[in-house]
Amino acid sequence: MKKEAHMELFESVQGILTEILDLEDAELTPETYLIRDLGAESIDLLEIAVAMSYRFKIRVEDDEAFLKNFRLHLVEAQQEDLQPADYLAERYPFLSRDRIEEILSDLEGGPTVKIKDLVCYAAHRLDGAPADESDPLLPLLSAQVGVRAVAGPR
Amino acid sequence: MSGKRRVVISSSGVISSLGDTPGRILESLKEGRVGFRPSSADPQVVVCPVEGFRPKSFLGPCKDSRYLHRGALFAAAAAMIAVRECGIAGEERSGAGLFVGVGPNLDIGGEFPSVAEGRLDRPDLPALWILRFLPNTAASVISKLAQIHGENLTVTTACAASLQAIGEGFRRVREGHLDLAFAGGGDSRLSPGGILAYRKAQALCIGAFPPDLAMRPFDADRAGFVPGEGGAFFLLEELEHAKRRNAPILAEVCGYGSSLDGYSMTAPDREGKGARRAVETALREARVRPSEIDVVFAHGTSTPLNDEVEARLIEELYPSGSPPVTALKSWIGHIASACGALELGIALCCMREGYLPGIRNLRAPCNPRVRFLDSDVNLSCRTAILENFGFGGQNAALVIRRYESHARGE
Repeated sequence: MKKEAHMELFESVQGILTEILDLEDAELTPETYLIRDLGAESIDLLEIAVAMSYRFKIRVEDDEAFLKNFRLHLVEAQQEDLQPADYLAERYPFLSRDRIEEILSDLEGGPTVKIKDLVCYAAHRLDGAPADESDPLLPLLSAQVGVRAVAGPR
Repeated sequence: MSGKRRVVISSSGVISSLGDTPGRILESLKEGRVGFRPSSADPQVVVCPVEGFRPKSFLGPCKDSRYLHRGALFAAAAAMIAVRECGIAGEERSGAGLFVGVGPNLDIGGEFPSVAEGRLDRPDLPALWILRFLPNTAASVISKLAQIHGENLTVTTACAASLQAIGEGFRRVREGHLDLAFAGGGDSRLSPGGILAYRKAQALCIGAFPPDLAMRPFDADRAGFVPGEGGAFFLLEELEHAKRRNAPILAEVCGYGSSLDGYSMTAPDREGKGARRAVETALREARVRPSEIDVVFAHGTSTPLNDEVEARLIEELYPSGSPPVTALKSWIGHIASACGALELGIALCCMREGYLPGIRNLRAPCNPRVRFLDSDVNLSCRTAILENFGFGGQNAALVIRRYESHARGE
C-alpha cells in the first residue's frame, strides 16, 4: 500500500474518531492513544468498529483491531514457552515487529492501542498483505507530525 | 405548612422558540414574536421550531450526544443551563435527584431511512442504536455531564410527563428524601415521523394560513394543535437549604396532583373527571382554595375536545367566577411531553414580571363563563395553577406561588 493511501486511511480514521468521540479541535496523530489519550470507552470502540467497517467496507474484529486480547495472548505465549513477539506477530499480522516490541515495552502504561494501529488494521484488511517490516506508517508519521512522532524506540 | 418542608424553584433553564433567557422570552411575548411556520415534512402542517438550536453550546464536548434524539437533546441542554445557573458546585450536587420527562423517539424515518420489508439492519447502523430509543438515555447523559447521582425517575406519561417529573421531584424534596432535585424535560416531534403520528391521529391543525393563525386554544374555530419543540429544567430545593446559601428563589411549588382517566386512549373523559381529580389533588396539597388561584395556565391544546372539556372543568371549579386563564401553547405550540416544563418556565418569567400574555387568536371563546385572556395584561399574580392532560388519559396539575418569606398562617 502506497503512502498516499495510508495518509488517506489515517485521515478517514481521524474523521471517524473526531465524530464518534466528539473531539472537534483535538490534535490527532498516529501516535495518539485511543483509550489513554482520548478516553474511548467500550461502547465507543463498538461504534468505531461499526464506522470503520462501513467506511472501508471491511470486516472489523474488534478484539483484533483494538488489541483487546493482547495481554491474554502474551500470557498464552509464556505458558507455551514461545517467543512472545513471534506469537503475537501471528496473532496480529497487521502489526510490524517493531510495533509489537514497542507495545511490549509499553504495557504498564495502560491500554496500548494507538491510532496508527487502526490505520494498519484497516490497511491490512483492505489489501490482505502482512505489515511491511519497514513500517508502512513511517512516511505518514514524518508527514503528519515531523520530528516529534519519529522520536522513540524506532 | 405544619410539619411539611417547603420547596422552592431556585434555578431555571429554558430553551424555547421564544428565546432561552427570561429577558428574551418576555420580549418575544410582549412584541408578539412567534415562530410558527409550515413544516418541511408536510407543508399542510404548521410547526413551531426552535431555530438555530446548537446542543453543543449547552452540552460542551459530549460524545454521548450521538445517542440523544432531538427531544432528548433539548432536555439535556435545558438541564445543563439549570445546573450552570444554580451555583452549586459539583460535589455538593452529586446527591441531588433527577426527574426527567421525556417522549418517544418518533423520528423513525430519520433513524431508519431505507427500511424495507421490516429489515432494519444496515452497515452504518450505530452499535448502540438502542440508546436512541431507550427513555432513560437523556437522564444518563445529564447525570454523566452534571455528575448528579441521587434518586431519579424518568417519566414517560405522554403530554403530562414533564409536569409529573416536576411534581415527583417536588414530592421527594417536600417529604425529605432529597434537599435538591433537578426536574424538567425536553421534546421535539417535528420530524416526518412525529408529524405523521399526530396527523394520522387527527390531532393537528391542517392547512392553516397564515401559519400564525393555526394555534387558537379555546377559540370556536380551533382545529387541532401545532407541534413545537424545546426543553426546560428546574432546580427544586428545600426552602431552608436555599436560604442558607442565599439562592435566588424564583417561586414556591405548593402542590401537585396526577390521575388517569381510564376512559379513552386519546380523548379526554367527556366529564373531565380525571382532570378534575388531578387539579383538586394539587389544590388540596397546596392548601389553596380555588378562589385563591390568581391565574390558570391551561393545557389548551387548540383541539376541539381538550379545550371544551378543560373549559368546562374551569367553569365548574370556580363557580363564583374563574380567574384569568391563559394558554401558552398559543405562543410555542404543543411540546408534547415537555409542554409542562416549558409552560412552567415561561409562567415563572411572567409571574416575576407581573405580566400575563393573552391567548393568541382567541376571537370567539368556546365558553363564555370562563375568563379567558384574549390580550396581555399587567397583573400581579400570587398563586397559579398549571394543567397538562395527555394521551392515554394522563392528567397532571401543579400549584406554584410567588415566593414570600412567611407562608400564610405561620
